[in-house]
Amino acid sequence: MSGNVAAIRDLSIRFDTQQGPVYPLRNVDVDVPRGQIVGIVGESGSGKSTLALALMRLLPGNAVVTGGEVELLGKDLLKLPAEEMRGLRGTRLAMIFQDPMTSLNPVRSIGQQMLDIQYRSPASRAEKIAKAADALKRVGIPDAREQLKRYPAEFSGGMRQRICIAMSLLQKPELLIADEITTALDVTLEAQVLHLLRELRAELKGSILFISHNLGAVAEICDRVVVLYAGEVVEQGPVFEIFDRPQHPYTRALVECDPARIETTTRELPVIPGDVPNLRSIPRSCIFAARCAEVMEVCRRDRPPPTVIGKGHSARCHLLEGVES
Amino acid sequence: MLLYALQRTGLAILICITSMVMLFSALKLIPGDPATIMLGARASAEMKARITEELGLNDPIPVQLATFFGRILQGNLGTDMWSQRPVTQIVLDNLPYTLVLIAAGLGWAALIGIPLGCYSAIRRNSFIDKFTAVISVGTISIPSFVVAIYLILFFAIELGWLPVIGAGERGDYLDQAVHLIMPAFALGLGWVGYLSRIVRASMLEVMGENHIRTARAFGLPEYRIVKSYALRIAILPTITLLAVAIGGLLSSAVFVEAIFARPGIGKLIVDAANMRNFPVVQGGVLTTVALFALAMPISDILIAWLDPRVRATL
Ligand SMILES: Nc1ncnc2c1ncn2[C@@H]1O[C@H](COP(=O)(O)OP(=O)(O)O)[C@@H](O)[C@H]1O
Ligand SMILES: [Mg+2]
Repeated sequence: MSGNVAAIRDLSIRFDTQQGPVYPLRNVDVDVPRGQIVGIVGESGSGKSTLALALMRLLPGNAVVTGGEVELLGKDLLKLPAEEMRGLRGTRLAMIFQDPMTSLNPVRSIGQQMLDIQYRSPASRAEKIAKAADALKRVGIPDAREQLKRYPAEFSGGMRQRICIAMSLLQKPELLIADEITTALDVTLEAQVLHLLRELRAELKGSILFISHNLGAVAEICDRVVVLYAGEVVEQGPVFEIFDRPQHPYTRALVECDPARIETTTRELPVIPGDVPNLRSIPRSCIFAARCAEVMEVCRRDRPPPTVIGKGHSARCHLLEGVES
Repeated sequence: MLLYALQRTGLAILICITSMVMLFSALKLIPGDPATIMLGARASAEMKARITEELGLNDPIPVQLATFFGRILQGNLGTDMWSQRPVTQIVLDNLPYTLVLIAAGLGWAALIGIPLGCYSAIRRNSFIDKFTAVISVGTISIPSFVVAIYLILFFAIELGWLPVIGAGERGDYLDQAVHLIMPAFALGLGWVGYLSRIVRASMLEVMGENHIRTARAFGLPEYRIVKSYALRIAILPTITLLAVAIGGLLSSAVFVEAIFARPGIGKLIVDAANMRNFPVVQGGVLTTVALFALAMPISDILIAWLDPRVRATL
């Protein structure tokens, strides 16, 4: 097997809606090397969650995978029988969802839910409870044993997010998908959670797909960064390359905007003038052409293929053609 | 929680009081002399005088109302005009038959309807889903007395399998159960379809919620997700519905009891009304209203107990 826990090749997805088809992901290539944290950045609606759900095979019912291949933990994800897929979830593969307010079952206590997900474990009930309490403690929830008796409605959004993180830590997964998990947290908690993720990687040799709006957080913990724009990977590469030598005009707009703001205060991506393209009718041009400051004739005519710039670093931009190394 | 329970019960009591006042005024509003209405035009003058005296009809209205309330608070619903037995006793004799009938009717409807709704939601557009959808529309719209009549025609008269009349021998539980089959079936039939549709709709909604996706993301088996994660939530609207249903069931029970000549509150009220036995009508109606009024707080409290979200807001 390759050194990747996940290898996505040329993946395209379509949503069928009453207003017609939507194309949230097109020809996406992403690798998640074993033991690394890969960041996915992109504006809201760029397809980050869709990508995560595709890896979990939990896409909504109206989604169709129209092309591509995904190798996940050595298996052909798109052809895996449903039961085998379920066997991966919650053991070698785990996900923390974006919206903590609705991600927990409202009529089961935290403890019940944390016991439920350990159903495969041969440990005794007492051991499982101890393990759950321990996981809560690790995400900074005081008085963990008492909290296990309480229900989601009794916790704030930040607390619920930490509970979700604790639940995913019970598993010790080989690949953890974290979808905007720090959005609901304050700065101190965020630092704590980032620290946890790093620990998880060090301890468990696990990989993490870290989806975030927060470039500061991405710069801090990721090994690689994938930049998604309107359903396409416009650039990806090692974290220092992306932040120090961004090649795509979109990436440059993001990271060169104001370094101080990115590293500390901003929790949102910087605003770039222009509208996000409509995902219903995809132009044949470069997807960023309409907002690009350096747009050329060819950009409006042809969609650029990924150009390799350095080791593991590539971008889809006509400006880079010919500089290939 | 306790405060909430008290509030809900208080509301039920308020409903009972209001309906008592309405019931009392209804009798006052019937035009003409109440004694004449009860006894008929050809009753003798002294009989009328005796009845008027007995019912306290000569007292001023507020006094009558106060006596009325006072009596009811003591559990005294008056005296049957013909048999001279206390109405409370008569009502209590008949009440268990109605309660058993409703419980059996609703019970079998829930036992079949809820799993059917669940299945229809999970296997949407399957044969069973489409079949129940069609059958439901039919059964919901057929009144239970029509069902009752056809049941009698077929199972009792044509096949002779089931008894038609009464509630069975006292003390013989098997006989009573056999007598319960047709009335309970007639009463519950419409509710099977109704419950299955309601459960299906709320189940579909819940299965689309984010927390179900979370449960799946942890690899929980699907039957467990349905049972412990979805149905626990999808069942909640059904509980409220069932409480409201008690009202409809009580009135359907009137027909069903009359058709099967089964003792019960419904039949009691109908018979008493035919004979213009007003104290019994009053007692029967009041008991019915009280049952209905009590069902609401019970379901509210049950929901608060089952739903931590509701509990958190109390
Ligand atoms: N079930 C769906 N049906 C139709 N469109 C969807 C569905 N889910 C998401 N979308 C659309 O797909 C695009 C990508 O969404 P998403 O992956 O959630 O973006 P992100 O997580 O980056 O904010 C958005 O335009 C969104 O509106
Ligand atoms: Mg998202």
